[in-house]
Amino acid sequence: MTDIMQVDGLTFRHNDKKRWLKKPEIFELGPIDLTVQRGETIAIIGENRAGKSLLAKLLVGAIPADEGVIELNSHKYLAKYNQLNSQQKRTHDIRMILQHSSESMNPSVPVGRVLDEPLRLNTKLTEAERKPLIEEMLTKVGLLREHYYFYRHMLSDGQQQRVSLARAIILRPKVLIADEPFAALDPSIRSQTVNLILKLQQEMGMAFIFISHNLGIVRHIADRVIVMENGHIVEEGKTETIFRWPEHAITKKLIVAYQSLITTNTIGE
Amino acid sequence: MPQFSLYEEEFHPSPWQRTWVAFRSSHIAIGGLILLGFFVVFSVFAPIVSPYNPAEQNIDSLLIPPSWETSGSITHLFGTDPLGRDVFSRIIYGCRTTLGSGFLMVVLAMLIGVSIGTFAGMLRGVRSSIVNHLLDALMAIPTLLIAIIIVAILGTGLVNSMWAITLALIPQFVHRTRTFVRAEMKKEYIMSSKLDGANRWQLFVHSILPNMTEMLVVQGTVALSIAVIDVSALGFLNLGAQSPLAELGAILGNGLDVAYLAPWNVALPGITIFLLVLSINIVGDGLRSALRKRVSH
Repeated sequence: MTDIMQVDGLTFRHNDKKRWLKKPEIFELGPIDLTVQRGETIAIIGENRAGKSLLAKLLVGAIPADEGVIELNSHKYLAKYNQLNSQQKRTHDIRMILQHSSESMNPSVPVGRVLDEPLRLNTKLTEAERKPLIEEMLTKVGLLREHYYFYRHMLSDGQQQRVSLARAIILRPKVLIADEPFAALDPSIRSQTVNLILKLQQEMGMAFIFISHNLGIVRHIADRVIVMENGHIVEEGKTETIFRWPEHAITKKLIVAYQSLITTNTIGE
Repeated sequence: MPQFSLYEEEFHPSPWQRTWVAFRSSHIAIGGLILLGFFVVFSVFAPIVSPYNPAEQNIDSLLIPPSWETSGSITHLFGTDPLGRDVFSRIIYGCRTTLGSGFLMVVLAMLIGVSIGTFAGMLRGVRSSIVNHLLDALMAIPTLLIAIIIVAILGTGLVNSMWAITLALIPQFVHRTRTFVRAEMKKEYIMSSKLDGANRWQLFVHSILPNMTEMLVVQGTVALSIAVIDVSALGFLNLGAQSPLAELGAILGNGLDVAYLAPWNVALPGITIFLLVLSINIVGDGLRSALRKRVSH
């Protein structure tokens, strides 16, 4: 396995200056160091307000960081600046599924145009070449070709999730980042989506970083687990190691809470 | 799902077709549309449909009552005014002037207002708040009052009053657009378009503008009815269109002198203004609900 992405000293400071009648809010993230290998699945867990979503947004470049370097395939990005040309490459290689897939879809633009946007902005394909690609991607994520003409309000939550997934992988990224991708789905759709992502990951060899509160899924699909608290990585390791021999207090709490939910008897006994 | 090979739907209605289907389901909206279409057709084809020249004076037929009265004649459908001009032709040409200038003013005000508003909405900090607060202060004054002040400076006349009303309409467009763009910029779909690498212009054209049609239609029809009322009001007050030019408000103002003698000179142009504004408002309302239904069921 080769390193595909390396993150060094990624830092973010909440720069909400003290204002009149308002207490300054202080939140600092990092410095975060992280290596991601090709085809690897990494789970980020932690309590609310631990900075998980912020880390995901920093990695993908949605929020500019204050310091730090992201190295992707020996191409360095200063996380601090998002210059246009380096940003272009980055959008191509690191893609993200946002937390609320229904809000991340424009309500008055049909699915086809939503999926067309990343291609139009990042590739030199003509319109005639883009359409079959979009249709292929739609069938790949388990939708029909005619969903090309559908609007947001005609799709269910699970279908919207699939559209966001298609949008993220249509550029064949090296790294896919997802912020609670399975939270709003029912168990059967959730396992379908998990399997879909795993299958696509195998086909395309991309690394998958996801944030989740569902430790069952984390244990099931993640190769490595990162535990965060107050903007810092407090523990990091192989999934089984973390689940069997948690060291940090927060990790222990999370694992114990998870295990107390699992009952030994199953239905039918 | 990919294992099934299903037939594809052959026909996908375009966004405008969906809007039309939703619009058609409201009878009141259709009624308003027919009425407005009637006015538009008469305004566009005024030289063909009007029986007389609106400025032509005929001393032999002064103050003839409308055709449905016993002393009226069918040669002058709506009767004549104190100078012997045919009221029906004058109303048709009046619609043309009032409605046409209204459309022009709204389109111009919308173009200017939406561009300024978009800039103000996408910018942050001092520049944005300067635009905002200056124009909000202007919005506190009624448009008609601003228009009267501007006409007082520029002088009377239809063209001057048109400029005045256009200038008075712009702040509302700026304000609405700015609020709307600011609210949209915070939404997640803008974030995902940004992650696709869209710059501000692309964000506006491909992500915000499709969502803005509803707001633009609502604001546009409101502005159109305000424009029609203001043009007629200025004409009525003798500040807008001057006498030989047929304009609904000016016709109404001229008719006021003989209101007791010949009430149709006041009533007919008044009813026309009322119906015109009513149909604009009904169509605007129908369009708004149709556009809303299009994106949410």
